[in-house]
Amino acid sequence: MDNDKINTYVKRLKNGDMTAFDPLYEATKTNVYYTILVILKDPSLSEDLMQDTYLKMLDNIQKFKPRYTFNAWLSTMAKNLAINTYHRRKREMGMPEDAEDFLLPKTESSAEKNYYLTALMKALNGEEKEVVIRHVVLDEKHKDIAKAMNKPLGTITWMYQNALKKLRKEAGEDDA
Amino acid sequence: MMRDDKIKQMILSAAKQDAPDLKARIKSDPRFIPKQKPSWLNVLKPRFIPAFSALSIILIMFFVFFTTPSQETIAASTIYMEINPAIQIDLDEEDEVIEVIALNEDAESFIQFLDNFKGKDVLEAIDLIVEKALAQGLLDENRPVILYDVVSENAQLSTALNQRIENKIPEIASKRLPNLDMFRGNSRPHDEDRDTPVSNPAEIMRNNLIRQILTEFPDDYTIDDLRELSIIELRRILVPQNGPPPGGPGHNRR
Repeated sequence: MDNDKINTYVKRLKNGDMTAFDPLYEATKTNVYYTILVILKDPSLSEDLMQDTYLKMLDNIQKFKPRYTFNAWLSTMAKNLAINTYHRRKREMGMPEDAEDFLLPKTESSAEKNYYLTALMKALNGEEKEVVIRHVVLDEKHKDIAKAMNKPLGTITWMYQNALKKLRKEAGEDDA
Repeated sequence: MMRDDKIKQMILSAAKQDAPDLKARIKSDPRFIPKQKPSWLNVLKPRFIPAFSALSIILIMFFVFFTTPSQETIAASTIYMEINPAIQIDLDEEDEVIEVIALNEDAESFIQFLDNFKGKDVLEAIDLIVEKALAQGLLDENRPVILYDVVSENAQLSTALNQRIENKIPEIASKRLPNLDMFRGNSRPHDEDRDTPVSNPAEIMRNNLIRQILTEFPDDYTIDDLRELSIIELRRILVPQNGPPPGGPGHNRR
């Protein structure tokens, strides 16, 4: 969905037209969810924060100015909430070691749902998944990913290329 | 062999499918009510806006031509603050805010969360910025660092303003964040940098901080070591908090 269309929905939402919420959610959910997930590495917690993000968005919707990008504005909100939660949980209980399969919720109900991204990236380790999600899904530059993951830029570039190689190999084997 | 763009499309499509559908959950939350404009505006809008607009234009023209000086308000002094985001605060001679400006992309979102600062005293503005940064998760006890600078063509004004800020920092810290580390940097480009394309004052403050570290610890760091570090990490090299700084003095990183 292009920015003009999104801004139209935002304007409707500002005027109290709640039917604009659904299309706005669909246009932004991928960015918001994965922005939170790459920080918290916990799908269930990420869903909770995602809910909070959209509610906070509604609370602050009148402050949004159309000259800014709504997706970026919302993602910044999500990122700040996630960072806050990450630091709070680290203080209170210590965050668990980064899981290889942080895309998959650790609940019984997760067995019922198809997780396409998990299946697609099964050949990748946890860090490779994070690099691929940040670059491909969230459109982050490699140097920003390097900063976020506290790794040298060269390492991130290499990890990304290696991940693509593995994905190509998986897809190539599947196609055979 | 599959092309990279096809792989990327597959990833994007899978990610979109896996992103959870929380619409029902969000809508059932009691907080699912957008803040609306006051209803009296909606009532008045179709009737009175054209009349108000015309009257406003007449009044503005009156004040512009018959009362106010013809020149626009020029900042008497300016404060640059790097919280990541980076912002600029322009002040008049009374140290009251004329304008708050975003110096990077992250700041454009941040300043939207700042209420109208125009006319507020600088110390009140700084206190509110710290409050909002804390609320947004940009500052906390693990990331308590703010780099700032005060510039003015009037040296006396700049000195007095900086003194006011330094005196206020402990009060802001005790009220908002006990370990707040708000320290003054240097936003004037170094002679060596005058011909480089960096013009953003926040970037200049960062470069000067790196230059300071390289001067104080010439055997311990290279510019490549420091270039990717955050303001907090750079500050910890100069002012260690717990134990030695990352690759600190004595650790030969060349």
